[in-house]
Amino acid sequence: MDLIKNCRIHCLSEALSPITHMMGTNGNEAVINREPVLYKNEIRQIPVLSGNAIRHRMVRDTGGTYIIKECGLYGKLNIDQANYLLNGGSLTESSTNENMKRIADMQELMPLTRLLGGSLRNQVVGGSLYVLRGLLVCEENRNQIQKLLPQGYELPEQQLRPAEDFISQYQYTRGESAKRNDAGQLLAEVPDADAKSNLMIYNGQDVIPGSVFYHGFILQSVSPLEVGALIHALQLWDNAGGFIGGQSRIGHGKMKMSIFFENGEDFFGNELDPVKLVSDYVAHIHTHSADIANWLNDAFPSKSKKQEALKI
Amino acid sequence: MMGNWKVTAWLSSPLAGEPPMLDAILEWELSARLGYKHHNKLTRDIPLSELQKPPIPVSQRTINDVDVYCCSSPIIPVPDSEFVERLSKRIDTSEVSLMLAPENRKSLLVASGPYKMRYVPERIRLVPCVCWFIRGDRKGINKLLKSIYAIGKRRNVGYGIVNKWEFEDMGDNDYSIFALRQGKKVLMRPVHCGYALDHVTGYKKTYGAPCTPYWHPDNYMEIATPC
Repeated sequence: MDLIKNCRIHCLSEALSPITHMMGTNGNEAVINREPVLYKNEIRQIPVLSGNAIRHRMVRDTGGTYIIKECGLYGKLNIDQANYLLNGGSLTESSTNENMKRIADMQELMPLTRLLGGSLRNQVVGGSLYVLRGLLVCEENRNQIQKLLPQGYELPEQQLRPAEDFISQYQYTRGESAKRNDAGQLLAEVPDADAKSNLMIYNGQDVIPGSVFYHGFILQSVSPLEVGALIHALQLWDNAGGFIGGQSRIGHGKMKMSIFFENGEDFFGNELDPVKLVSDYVAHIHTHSADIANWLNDAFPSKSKKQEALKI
Repeated sequence: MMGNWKVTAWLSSPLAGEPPMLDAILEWELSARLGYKHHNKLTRDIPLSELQKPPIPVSQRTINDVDVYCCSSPIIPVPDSEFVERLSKRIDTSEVSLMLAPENRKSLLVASGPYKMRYVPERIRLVPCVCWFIRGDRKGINKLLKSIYAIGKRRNVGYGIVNKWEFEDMGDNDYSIFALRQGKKVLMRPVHCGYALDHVTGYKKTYGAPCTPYWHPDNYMEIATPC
């Protein structure tokens, strides 16, 4: 496997609809996910997109689903295979044996899983991807973002807006069929007028459309195929609407992402072309789709196959 | 060239969990570069006697009959803020159901067992830096640290990202194992308990490992750790 130098991918994502990436509730109100940031010797609570959410929604979920569809595995998986590809798997057996061949095969066949790591039934395999959290581009985060940006890239000199300018409120109502005007025709039995109502008003905080988040990815000692796998997953996420956080069913969380690729060169200093990296990755998955299916069946056999093997 | 250094990792994101020992990071990185097969796959079941230690450019001293690297425990400033982050994981059954073969579509226990939903608390501290005192070769150490992008736990989701590694020359002052405070020797890193700790303060006795890998049961013994 060809290795390339470590590389970084920087992303700027603009919110096209309210972002509702929440951390809990305060009374009846959903509260947006925040973290403390030191600004002018004071602690400010600033909205943030967690790295865990970005990693799952932008990379593992989209990349795993692509492998499943491309290899013709849709509707043919068992729960362990789906859990491994979409959630990273779980350690379910004692780890007394390390099957190096199985790990090597997995890493060669599915560059995405080498990137993300995961757990086979009896062994945990480390990944090589660091996902940066999504930092709101605001005055309080200026220092932090500046440190993460590549050399030569500066934030504008003029003061950015404070974080609180980007936070707003939403409110919706959940209807009840018994309260509809045509309830008499719809329902066989209309409840009494004084019966308890399920009509509900719910509200919460959001980050307003137009706000921008900086986030990124650090890839350590990876092959060109792994870089291709990551960029491909990001493209799929973006093409599928680019949703993050909750309430996407009603249009919240839509983002538009732009990508900057840093240090994308091999050990000989040749620059790598992101378009070629993606096409190479797609071709790789296409060529090895049967091998991937065989590997998954071998690593995560269904119970009936296990029982057959025991009988033999 | 061997010298006494204060190594500082300037962070650009909060630190999750406890700060790591620098000698452990250096050993891990060098094992990876030398292609040691146990670099990623060392488990508690593998005896350490079977393994070769990578030659990191850090001095070693024998303290109470155990060889330890001349590298202090990590030192962090008082956190600007401390909070708990929760990391969640669950199988999205609504997404997965149709992907499964019809014979595999069964009810799934998600309250316990391998598919248990998780909402794990993690201690996060907002600190600007972590520093260590070390006696070793600056050039060699810097070469290894260049590819360390993050430290601490949960590095995969953006915690403990290192912005810059900085070296400060400490001259003849070696604070890697013991330091002097008001004329008294203070312990700076875990060491095996014994005679070498006479007239030393600033430690508590506990049970653990005085040398790398710090989590391996083969290294467990009665130790003194700085407090």
